[in-house]
Amino acid sequence: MAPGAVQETRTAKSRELQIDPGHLSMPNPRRDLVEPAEVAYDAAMDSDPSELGALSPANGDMSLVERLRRGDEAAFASLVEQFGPRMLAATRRILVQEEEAQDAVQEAFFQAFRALGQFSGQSSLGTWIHRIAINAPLMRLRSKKRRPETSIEDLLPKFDGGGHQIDAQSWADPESVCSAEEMKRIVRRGIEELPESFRTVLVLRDIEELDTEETAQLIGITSNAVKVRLHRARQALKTLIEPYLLEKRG
Amino acid sequence: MNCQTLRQKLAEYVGEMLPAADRDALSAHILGCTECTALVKPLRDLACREVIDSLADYLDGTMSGADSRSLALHLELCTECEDYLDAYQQTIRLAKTSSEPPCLDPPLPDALVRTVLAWRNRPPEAR
Repeated sequence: MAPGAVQETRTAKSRELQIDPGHLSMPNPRRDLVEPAEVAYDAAMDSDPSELGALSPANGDMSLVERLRRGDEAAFASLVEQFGPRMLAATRRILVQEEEAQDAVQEAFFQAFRALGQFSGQSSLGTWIHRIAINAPLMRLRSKKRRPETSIEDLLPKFDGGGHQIDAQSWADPESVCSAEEMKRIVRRGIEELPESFRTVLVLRDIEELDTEETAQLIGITSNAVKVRLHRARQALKTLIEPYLLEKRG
Repeated sequence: MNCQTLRQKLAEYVGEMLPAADRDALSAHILGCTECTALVKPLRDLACREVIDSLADYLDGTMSGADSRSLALHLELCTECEDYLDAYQQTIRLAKTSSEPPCLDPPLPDALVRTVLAWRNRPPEAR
């Protein structure tokens, strides 16, 4: 298989998308569970009436892919318009720097275009291309010279000599603190502040909802390391957003 | 099960050496008895750090039954850890919802769209 090629396979329980190069098997059992958000996303991605008419989502995907394979200009424009914004949102969460995030989207589209010949329609086009979009920034991170990260220790909980928590505090209901949109901004800023290796794991596990094994394969670390980083990332994020959420006393 | 039974079997209870039925019966008693809660709490407090370190596994359901029950009991008895768990779960939820529409997914910049769409005009060897 050529570098960057994408191959789809299907197992009994889960769809599997394999991206070459580099041990990037990405089964996601969660996607076969009935999760409203995912179903809603797939439905939104698959039900553009201008593309699909009365066709089923899978047939609609294949129809669009066939047009892409023929080099249909309108099909390319439709693909970019339909999936580009969500892809950019995903690459921004991992790379933070806008220019890098946009470059990763460009790379992801090019990789997807080159791999159209291998798309079989066994997973939705939206899921397939989004996975490529998640992988693109990870490949950039892997190829970059790693700089020393800020330590996360200061953001972890503190214990006294007996193992008791110091400064444990209860939170107010987030909805009572500020608007939902303001809270989203606070949390996104917190996520951006996390050191890269922790932010990446938190984004893949808690936002993209990949499982531990998938995350480990994509980043190239062990499952145990994913678990440790995820827990610390959540703890650090908790510390970063806590000043906005403490219960008012007295 | 009563207070006297707990005192007799305290070491076995804390050390997770009791049969499941006895352990569960004692746990139920402790949760309803202020005196026994006060007796067990200092023993459980030693595990605060351990409890916090294990929260991800606890929430994933990947801990052994005995460890999970022990952690659940600690959380029942320790307000600080209970607060921490609540904030930890809120953090996970807030992280997930922080990227939900309509706040993100802005349109791609025009220059990026042009570059992406220009790919199909490249000669095959440049793709």
